[in-house]
Amino acid sequence: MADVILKSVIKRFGKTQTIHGIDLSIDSGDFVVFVGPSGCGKSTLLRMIAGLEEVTEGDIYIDGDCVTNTQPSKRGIAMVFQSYALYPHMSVRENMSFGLEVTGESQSFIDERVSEAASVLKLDDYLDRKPRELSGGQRQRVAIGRTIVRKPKVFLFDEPLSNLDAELRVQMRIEISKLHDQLGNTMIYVTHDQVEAMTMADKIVVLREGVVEQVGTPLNLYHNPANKFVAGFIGSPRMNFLPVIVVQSTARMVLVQLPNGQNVELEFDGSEVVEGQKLEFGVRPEHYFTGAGGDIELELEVEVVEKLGGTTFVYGLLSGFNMTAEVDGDAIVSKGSSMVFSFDRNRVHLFLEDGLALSREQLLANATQTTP
Amino acid sequence: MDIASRKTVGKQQPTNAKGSLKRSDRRFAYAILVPAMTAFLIMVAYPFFDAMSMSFFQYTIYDLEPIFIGFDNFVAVLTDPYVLGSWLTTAIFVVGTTLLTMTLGLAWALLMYQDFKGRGVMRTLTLLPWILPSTVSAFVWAWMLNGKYGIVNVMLLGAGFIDSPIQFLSEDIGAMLAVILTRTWISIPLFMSFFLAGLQGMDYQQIEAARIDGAGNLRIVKRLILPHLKPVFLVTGALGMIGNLQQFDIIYALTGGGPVRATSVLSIEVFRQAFENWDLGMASAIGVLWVFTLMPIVIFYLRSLFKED
Ligand SMILES: Nc1ncnc2c1ncn2[C@@H]1O[C@H](COP(=O)(O)OP(=O)(O)OP(=O)(O)O)[C@@H](O)[C@H]1O
Ligand SMILES: [Mg+2]
Repeated sequence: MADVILKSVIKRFGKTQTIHGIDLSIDSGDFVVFVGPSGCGKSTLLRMIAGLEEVTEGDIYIDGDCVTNTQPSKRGIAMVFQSYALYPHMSVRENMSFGLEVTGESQSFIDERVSEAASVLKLDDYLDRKPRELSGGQRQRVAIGRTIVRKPKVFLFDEPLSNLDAELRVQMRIEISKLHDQLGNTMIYVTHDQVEAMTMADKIVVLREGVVEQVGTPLNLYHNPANKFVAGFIGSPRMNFLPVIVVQSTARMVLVQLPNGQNVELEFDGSEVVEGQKLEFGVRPEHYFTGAGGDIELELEVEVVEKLGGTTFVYGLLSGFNMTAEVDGDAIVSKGSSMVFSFDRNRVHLFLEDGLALSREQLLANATQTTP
Repeated sequence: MDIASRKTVGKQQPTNAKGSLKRSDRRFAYAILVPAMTAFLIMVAYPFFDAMSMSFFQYTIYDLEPIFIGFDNFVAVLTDPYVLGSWLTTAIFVVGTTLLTMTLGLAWALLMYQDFKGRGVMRTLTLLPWILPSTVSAFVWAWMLNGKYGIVNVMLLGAGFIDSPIQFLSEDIGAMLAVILTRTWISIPLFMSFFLAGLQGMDYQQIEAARIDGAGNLRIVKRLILPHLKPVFLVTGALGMIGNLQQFDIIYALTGGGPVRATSVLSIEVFRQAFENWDLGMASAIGVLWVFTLMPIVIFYLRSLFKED
C-alpha cells in the first residue's frame, strides 16, 4: 500500500516539451486510470513514475519517499508492458522468478511465490512453457504474474489489453479488477479506451497534450465534465455538440437559440454570459428518446440507422449538424425520414467558447445522488 | 516468376487447361535459367573442376605438359611439414580473428545501441575501415605497428606495459598479432552491423522489464541479449570463418606470409606454390584440400541461412 504524488512534473524530449507541469495525488490502494488521446503523454507519465524515463523538472513521491532519481528496481513498482515484454528464451516459471532471482532470494522462497502467483492467475499448467507457446491471454497473465511475485507497492500498466481481441479484453479487464480487489495495491493503468477507464477506475485522470484536464470518479466525469474535451472523451458514442447563441440570461437561467432557430431555456448560472454570446450545447446520445415526451424536442433528418438488437444508433442531421441518438432496440426509425427526438433539459451541458463548462448547481446535486 | 507467369497467361487461350499452363510456366522458368547456368558453368564450374583435375598432375615450370601422377600431390602435401604447418597457421589466424572480431563487434554494437549524443556520427565513422581498400588499411596498420615510430608502441611504452618496442612485423608472434589485429579492424564494421541489426530487432521493453526487475547490465547481456543474438552469432561466426579462411590481401601486404613462414596461411601457400614455385599441381592439391576445409562451414552457413525461423 502506497500513495503516489507528482509535483509539477515536466518532461522535455530535447527541446519539445510533452508534459507540462503535472500535479497529481494518487491515494493508497486506488485504481487510477490515465486516459486520453494518442500522444497526450500517458505512457511518458507512467514511465516517469516507473523510472524508465527521466523527470526533466518536478518530483515524484512513492509511499512518502522522493523517488525522482531512484532506479526503477528500487521504487517498489512493477510494470506490465503493452507488448508484455516477456523474456522469450525463458520459461513461464523463469519469467516469473527472474526478478526474485536478481534480488538473490532463496529457491524455496521463489518457488513458493511463483506457485502462489500461478494459482491466482491459473497458470499452473503452463509453467514450463515458453512464451511463444502461449495464447495472447496467457501471455498477458504471465506478464501480470511477473509483477505480482515481486509484491510491489504500486502496479503500473501501460495499455496491457490493447493486443487482445474484444472478448478477451473484457475478460481480462474483469480479472485485473478482481486482482485489484484481492491485492488492494495502488494501481496505475494507462489506456486510451474510455470503456476500460469507466469500468475499472476508482479515479480517472483525463490527459490532453501533457496537461491534466480533469481528475475524478468515472461517474463524476460523466455527469460533470469540467470542459468540452472531457465531455467529448468520456462516454460512447461521443456527446453531441451544437453551436448556440445566448438570447437571454440570468443567475438561474440561460435561454439559447439552436441552429434551427428553436429557443430552449436551461437551468444554468447565466451570470457570466451575455446576450448574443456563442456557446456549445452538448447532449449525450443515450439521453435521447424517440418521439416527443422529453423537455426538449428536436426534429432530425435521419441519415443512417444501425440496429444492434438491444439498442439502435440513429445518425441524423439538425440544420446540417451531425447528431447521434442511441435509442431503444425496438424503436421504429427509418432512414431518409424526418423524425422527432427529445431529451430532458437537465441532460444538457453548456460550454463556453474556450471549452469550460458552465456551472449548474442542480446537476451536481443529482450526480452525487446517483454516485454509489 | 510472377512476371513470367503473367506473360504466359496472357498468351494462353482462356479455354486452356490448368496443367498446360503450368507446364509452359515451367518451360519458361527453365528458359530464363539457361543464361545464368551457362555463365555459371563457364565462369565457375569449369575453372573449378579444371583446377581440381590439375591436382592429379605433375605440372611445374620444368614440365612441358602436365604428367598424370594420381594422388602423389596429395601425399606430398599431407607429408610436407611446411604445408601442414600452414594449416596450423591458418587455424590460429582464423580462430583468433573470428573470435576477436565477434567479441569486439558485439561490444561495439552494444555501445552503438546506447542512446547518446552523436551516435549517428559514430555509427557512420565505424564503417570507415570497411570502405577503405584493404591494402590501404594494411599500410596504415603497418605504420601504426612500426617498431620505431608506430603509435601502438609509443602508447604501450607510455603506459608502461612494455620496456622496449615490440618489433611486430619481424617477430613470429608479433606478426601473427599484427595480421589478426588488422583483419579484425577491417571486419568490425560488418560484424557490428550484423549485431546492431540483431539488437534493433529486439523488443526494448524486455530490457526495461529487466531493469525494473533489478537486473544489471551484465545480467541483461547474459540472460536477454546473448540468447536473442544466438542466430546472429551462428551466421556471423560462419561468415567470419569463411572470410578469414580465404583471407589473402592483408596478410600478403602486411607480412607477405613471413617472417619466414609465421603468417603463411593456406591462401599464401597456394600463391607461393603457383606463382613463386610454379608448381601448379601442388597448388591445386592444396586448393582442393582447402575447399574441403571450407565446405562444412559453408554448408552450415547456407543451411542456417535458409532454415525457417
Ligand atoms: N523518446 C521520445 N523522444 C521524443 N519524443 C517522444 C519520446 N517518447 C514520446 N515522445 C513524444 O511524447 C508525446 C507523448 O508520448 P506518449 O508515448 O507518452 O503518448 P501516449 O499518450 O502514451 O500515446 P499512445 O496512446 O499512442 O500510447 C508524443 O508526442 C511523443 O511523440
Ligand atoms: Mg502509450
